[in-house]
Amino acid sequence: MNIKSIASNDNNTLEICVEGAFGFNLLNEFRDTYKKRTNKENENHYTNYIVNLRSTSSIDSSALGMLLNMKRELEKNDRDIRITHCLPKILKILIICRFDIKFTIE
Amino acid sequence: MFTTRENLNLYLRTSWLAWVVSIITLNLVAVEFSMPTTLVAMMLTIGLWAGSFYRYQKNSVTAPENELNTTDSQTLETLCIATTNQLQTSINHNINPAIESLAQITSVISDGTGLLQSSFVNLASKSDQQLGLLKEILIHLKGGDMENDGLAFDHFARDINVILNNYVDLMVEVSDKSIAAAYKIQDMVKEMDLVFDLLSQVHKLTDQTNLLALNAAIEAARAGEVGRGFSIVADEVRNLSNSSQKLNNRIRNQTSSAKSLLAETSQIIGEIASLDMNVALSARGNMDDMLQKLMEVNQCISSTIDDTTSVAKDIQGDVSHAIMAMQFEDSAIQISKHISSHLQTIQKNMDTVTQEVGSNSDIIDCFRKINARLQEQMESQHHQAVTATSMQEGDIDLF
Repeated sequence: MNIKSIASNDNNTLEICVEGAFGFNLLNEFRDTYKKRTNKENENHYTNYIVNLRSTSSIDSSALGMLLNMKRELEKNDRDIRITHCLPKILKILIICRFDIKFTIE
Repeated sequence: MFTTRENLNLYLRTSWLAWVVSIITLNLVAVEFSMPTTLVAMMLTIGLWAGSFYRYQKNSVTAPENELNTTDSQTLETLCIATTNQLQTSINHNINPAIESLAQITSVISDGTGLLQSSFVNLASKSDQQLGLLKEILIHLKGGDMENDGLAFDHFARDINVILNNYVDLMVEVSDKSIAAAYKIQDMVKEMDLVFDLLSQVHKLTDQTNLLALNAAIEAARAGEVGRGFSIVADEVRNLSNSSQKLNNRIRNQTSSAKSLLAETSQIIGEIASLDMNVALSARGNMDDMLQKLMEVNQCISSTIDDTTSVAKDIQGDVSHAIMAMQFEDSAIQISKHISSHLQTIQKNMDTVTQEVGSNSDIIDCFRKINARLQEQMESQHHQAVTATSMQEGDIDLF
């Protein structure tokens, strides 16, 4: 699995770790972490979401699209998304694409 | 002493008394007259010799003057005229070409310096033109205003930056929408799968219906004649369920092909969504480098223009020096004129001599006159030189 999702102890925070190349092949997996395939209303029961890119070797623009779609989805319930532990070259890409304005990057 | 017979005659005339007295004195000495008498006689002899010698010398000086009255004076005159004519011809033969050459030198120098001067002036103006062209380039680069610190290139670079940012934003939006579409397609696929489920259920239903119809037919057969109508109905039901099954299969196939189309579409959208970010990265990185290089180019151009300006000034200075140096022309021409006039003086003097010799039969008078005129000429020349020097000094002041 290229994506690991870890829930925090108090069930408030969901940490999503992406390993290897973050690309189109992770399309469904990535969405599944934050979107439960149920018809229940309170599917987004976490308040904080962290996308941890420590082990991410590269990202392409589909990854950016996935992040934006995640934000759009979670914004409906006013959830907070943080992107953490970016490698320098990935951080560069995120800044060029002005993701530092759309997300909190640490 | 006795160069001519006349001299001899003269000598004899002036010394006869001395001779006579000397002979008497000798006789007296020989006869041994008394001492005082001998002494007186000897002194008288000596006095007479001295006197006669003096008279001879005095008269012999004028003797050559009298010699001119012979036929030799004719030959001398002819000789003088011939010699002076020869000399004049030779002098003119040499001096005339020399004067011509000096005139040539003058005109060559004049023409040469004229050309040089105009060439230098053109050179200076071309150098200024060059500088003007360079400054124009700078104005174009700076966008029309030299005072303004911004480069036209600068604005250009910033515009490109904006365009690049727009491009990046566009790319991100394309990604965003593509991924959203991809998700929708996944959702559609899931819906299709639900349809398949439903179709399976329909299949089951059809199978059950078929079975039921079979059972009905069996029951109808068992009922015999009475069940014949029922068995027809049962057959029809079986037919219907078969048709239904076929339809079901066709729907399943359609749905299958639709699902594979969706898979293909998903693939395509995946490709759209997955753009290589390196393009944007390198483009933006290059922009910063480009701006840096532009700053350097700007610096370089400015300093090059400064250098060129000072070079142009130096050229102006050198050209001024060259033009001043060509004032040598005046000196050279003046010196030529001096030489020329000296040569002409020599010619005039020669003419004077020839004239006098030709028009004067008395050679002695002739040469006296020549002497006098030459003296006059030299004195006037000296006088001219004095005033000329003082004038030259005045000119130098005006320099």
